[in-house]
Amino acid sequence: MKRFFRSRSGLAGFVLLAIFLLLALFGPLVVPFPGAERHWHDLSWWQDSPAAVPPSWMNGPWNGYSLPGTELLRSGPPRELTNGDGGRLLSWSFPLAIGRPGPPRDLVLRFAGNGKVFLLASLVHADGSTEEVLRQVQEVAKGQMGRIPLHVREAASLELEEYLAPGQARPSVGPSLLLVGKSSGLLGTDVEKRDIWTGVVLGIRWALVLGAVVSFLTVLTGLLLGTIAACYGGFLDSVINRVYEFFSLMPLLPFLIALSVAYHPSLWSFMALALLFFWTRSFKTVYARALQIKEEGHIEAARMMGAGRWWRVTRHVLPALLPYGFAVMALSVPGIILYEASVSLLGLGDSSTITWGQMLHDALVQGAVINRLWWWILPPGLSIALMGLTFALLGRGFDRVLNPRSR
Amino acid sequence: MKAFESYAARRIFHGLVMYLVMALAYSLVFNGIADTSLRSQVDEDVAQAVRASTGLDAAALGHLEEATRAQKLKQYHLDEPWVQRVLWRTAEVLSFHFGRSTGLSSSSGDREVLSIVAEALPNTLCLFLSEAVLVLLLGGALGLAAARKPHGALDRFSSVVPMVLNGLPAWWVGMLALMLFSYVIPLFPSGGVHVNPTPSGLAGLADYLWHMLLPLITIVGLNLWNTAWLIRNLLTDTYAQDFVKVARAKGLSEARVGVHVIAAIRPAVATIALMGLIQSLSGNILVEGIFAWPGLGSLYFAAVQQSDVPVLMAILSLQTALNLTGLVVLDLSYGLLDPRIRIGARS
Repeated sequence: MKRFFRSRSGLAGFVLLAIFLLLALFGPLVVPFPGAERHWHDLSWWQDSPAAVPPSWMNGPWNGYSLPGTELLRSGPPRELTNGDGGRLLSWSFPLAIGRPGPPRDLVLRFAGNGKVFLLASLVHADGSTEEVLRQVQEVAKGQMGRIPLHVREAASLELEEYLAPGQARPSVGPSLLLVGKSSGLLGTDVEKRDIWTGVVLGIRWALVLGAVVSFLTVLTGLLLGTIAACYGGFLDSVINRVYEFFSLMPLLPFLIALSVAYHPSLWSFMALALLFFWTRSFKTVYARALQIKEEGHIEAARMMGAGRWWRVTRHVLPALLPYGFAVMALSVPGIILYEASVSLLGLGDSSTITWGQMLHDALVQGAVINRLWWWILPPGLSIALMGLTFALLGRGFDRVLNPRSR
Repeated sequence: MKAFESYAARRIFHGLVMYLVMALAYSLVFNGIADTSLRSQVDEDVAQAVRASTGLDAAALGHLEEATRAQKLKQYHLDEPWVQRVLWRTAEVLSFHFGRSTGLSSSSGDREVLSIVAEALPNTLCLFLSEAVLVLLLGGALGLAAARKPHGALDRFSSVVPMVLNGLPAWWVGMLALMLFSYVIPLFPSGGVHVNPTPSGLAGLADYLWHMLLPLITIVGLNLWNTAWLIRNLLTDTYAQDFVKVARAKGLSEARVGVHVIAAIRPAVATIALMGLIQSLSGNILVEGIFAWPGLGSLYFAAVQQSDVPVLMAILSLQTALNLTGLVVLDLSYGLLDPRIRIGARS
């Protein structure tokens, strides 16, 4: 173990893996939209975010702060006037500083209500002139929030008036004004207004689960089958080798794609299919290694001393192969994640989860390439690459420890 | 040589049996989809026959409908049990009778599967064969350069790069390349094989190559590192072997030593080259998809989406046949290229 950490690649891989694990475990604590996992495909959940805007760190003096983030202007206490008929007129003033040089931003008026809400809004411009932008009656159920988008080019402030009919109770929450930003979050948003940093972080756990489970099970299968074929020989040997040949000759990606289209895909069915195919990747080397090991002196000696075949396999051959298995497990993770991403890219992923491949599928389909939305394309792909690198480094670290020749 | 011939015969026979098994497996797996799409085809054919008939009363129309349906079901073997259909489809695959597609057609409107495939194949060949050749040449050169100074700067760099590229999706790099060099800096076309309208003659060829350049650079740039690393390892391992020391001790010139080393790594290089060749013939669904390159990969994906089983089966069996041929050729060529491997000369 000490030697593993002394190898630079092993240590680097371990650090990266630790970061990924921490992010996977405490992901909800570091993302701005913690409930996103359940609402990723629920577009109304994301309605208050801007669509397809760059990361907020793109806003700076180099572009004259022209990419402000989203702001929520809450109302203070209203001025209240009682009307002649017993109704009341509530009014608020929202200070805005919209205008040149910053390009216009979207404004969303949000308000609570108990039944009918009568709204009147006007803009006050810098020169003191006013302009009516809203005169509307809207039905809002109790406990619900109404939303009215406003199109504002330039304004110093917004005056809002709400009329309450006689006897109508005042809603418990005052209206608020949402200034939808031109930049958002750590990594911007996609066309569906979803936060990309949130998606990337929540994608980690699926990549890890998929990579770890599939690689563990497939390498274990390959290890067992390789050992059995090598040590028991004869009929079993040739059957296993024929099955190996069958699965390794199949064009894997095309076949997976065809199956995913035919039978409705889920992450679990992808795992099942991967199990069926990926064991072939470790089988041949294990088989060759096991053939060598079983001829080694100490095993021959054990046989002389009367150890049965079962004993020799479980006590001598498998333990000798096991460390090698760890290296192969780590090294096979990137391939598995890559396959899931490739299948997802074609829109055949499990839509109840968030995976990096699916984010890239959305990016591709919704024109991220054509519209140059680099913040949508770069992070998921880099995450795939980084996760691949992590396990490649770990595998190399294991290999350094176990395989003295490569040191 | 007698032993080699019998070994070759056995190996080829074994390969053929494997092909049969795999064709059977494909027919079995895709039988369900094929049935669904054939049944909707029958419905369509019957509706068309009914529409085409004029001046018939309701009874005659009903009779016509039934007769057409029965005839169509028979034509598509849908009146037989599914086991028979699986066997029938396997036989068709084995005899390269892929029949007519159920939805896709070639640019001339032809529904013959083989002509649809033949239309896509040259595009795949042009792109991926150039890739295979370039990867072997550039990767070989890089590997040679890296092996010349083991643990030098270039060697270290070229040992790290494959690890970084290992988990990198080629299609994602393609997306980035497209965004950068086609939309941010409009250097290359955004996809396809030709501008519209297609120029004729030499200009057409130039246009085709110009469209091929960005995908080609992308995949060559990604794949050459692995080949370089393999060749570098082969060379350093071989140079460390005893026969090289003996050759040097005998006073052979470095060039003569090089000749011996190359002879020793020939089978491995042949493997790398052949594997690259086989992969190039299969195309790449995702890379072709990103660059809108109308090759076998794109065709396969279209076939999958439209549940066009005849086209799908044709491409899958083509790829399987290629993989199998590659394996058999490799096994046989080992015996010929590497004098240390003596087949049949078991004690």
